[in-house]
Amino acid sequence: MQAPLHPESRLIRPFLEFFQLTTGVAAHAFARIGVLRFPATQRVFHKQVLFTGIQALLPVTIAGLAVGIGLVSQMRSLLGSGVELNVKMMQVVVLREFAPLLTAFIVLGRSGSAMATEIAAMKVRGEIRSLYRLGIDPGDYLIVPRVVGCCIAVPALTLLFQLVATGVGPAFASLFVEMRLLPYYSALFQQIALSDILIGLSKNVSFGLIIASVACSTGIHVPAQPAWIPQAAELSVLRSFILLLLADLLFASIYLIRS
Amino acid sequence: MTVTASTEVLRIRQLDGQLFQPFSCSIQAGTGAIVHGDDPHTFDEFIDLVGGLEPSLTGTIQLAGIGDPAADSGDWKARSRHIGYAAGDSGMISNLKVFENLLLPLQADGDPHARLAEEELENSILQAFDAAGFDAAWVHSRLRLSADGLSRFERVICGLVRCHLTGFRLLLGEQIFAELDPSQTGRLIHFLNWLGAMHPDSGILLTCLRNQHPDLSELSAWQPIQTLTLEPSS
Repeated sequence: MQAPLHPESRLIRPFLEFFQLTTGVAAHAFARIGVLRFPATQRVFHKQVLFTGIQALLPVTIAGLAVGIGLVSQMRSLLGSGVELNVKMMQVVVLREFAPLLTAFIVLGRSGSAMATEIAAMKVRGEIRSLYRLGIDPGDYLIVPRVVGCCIAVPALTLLFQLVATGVGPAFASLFVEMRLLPYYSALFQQIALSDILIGLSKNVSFGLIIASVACSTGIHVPAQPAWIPQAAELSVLRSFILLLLADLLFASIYLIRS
Repeated sequence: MTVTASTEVLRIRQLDGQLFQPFSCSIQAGTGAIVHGDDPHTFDEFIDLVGGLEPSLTGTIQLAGIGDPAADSGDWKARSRHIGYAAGDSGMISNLKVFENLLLPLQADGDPHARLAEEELENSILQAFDAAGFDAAWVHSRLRLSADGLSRFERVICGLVRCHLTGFRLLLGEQIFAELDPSQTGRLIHFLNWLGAMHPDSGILLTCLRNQHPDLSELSAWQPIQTLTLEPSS
């Protein structure tokens, strides 16, 4: 007879299993990226980019605009009209923190939950088993295009958020508060270094990877019962949310070490 | 176990102490077997055994005489190239259109069939559906719809058309006769006979619940049909 699990093991084991499955999903996606050349996988990839990327353009634009206008207005009242300080704040708060995190939260709310629900529903309906029986590896067909699609869509959406928040937002804000745009844009471009862009890009790709890997692993891992379909979405959002914040902390410490 | 005969399609040898009571089955090209039991979940295990998906749980099973050594190695992917799978309920992917479902196995890996012109595939599809008693207008109206909207009978036919497109040495039908009315059963048997004529070097393996055993005397393409019973291991 198997010995009962130690209480600590009962707490730790689910975390270890989740971590193992999620890293496995992420590793599988990159190891098998070549399957994207097949038409069926390409179709899933295109659908994923369409849903996660293109259909999220409007919410991301609105969020970027709101953050840009709001922040410029607040900064003007707090920091005065000094261009350098305003631009520095914009760089640190919007470009490094708000844009990646808020974009990731929008993608998480729309696509992360949808992916987890869809895969859990496929599991409940026996479709994942059917894929195996048709000779199709569900890892290749379901996971690779979703993870890669999300890793492309999140940086692209973040870039849009950054452009709207730092470019269009101040232009709109200048209608309501006194602001000289040309010195602001000029100082902003001078502040942004190549290393900022590279670290920002790797941060956004990591966020996309976290959202898609957690969603896929949660969808696959839940029991094949209808009651677990909504729970898959809930679990996926919660787990991704925590991991996104932890990853953000990690990147913040990288910025801190660099400075 | 070694490859014994070039005409043999499938050999199953179930070991003691596994999921089912020991039994053996050998299907030659042009013949078939129907496996019945009381629990549909047992069929899941059995089909995974046939497909090589559960090698660690079960006994041994071989696809023999198919000229592909990889298929004898227990590799489920290699094995699946020789198995056509159709099911009454879960065989189609519900968030894909019917046409996408039909082409899915062809387009999901490096199969050379994937490069067939769409027009050529569409002709094959129309020909197969015609043999199943569906006219071109019906096919064109359904192909672009979601697989969710198909009836059980239509899903079974679509699954079999997909097998026809991919080609097979063993046709594996999971409860394809369940919940069909007598007219649909007749049409299905007629279509299976057409499939058998199109793939003469194949065998057929069907599963059904014991109380839903169909009359397969009209299934002339694959005869004789052995009857086997899955008894769960105690």
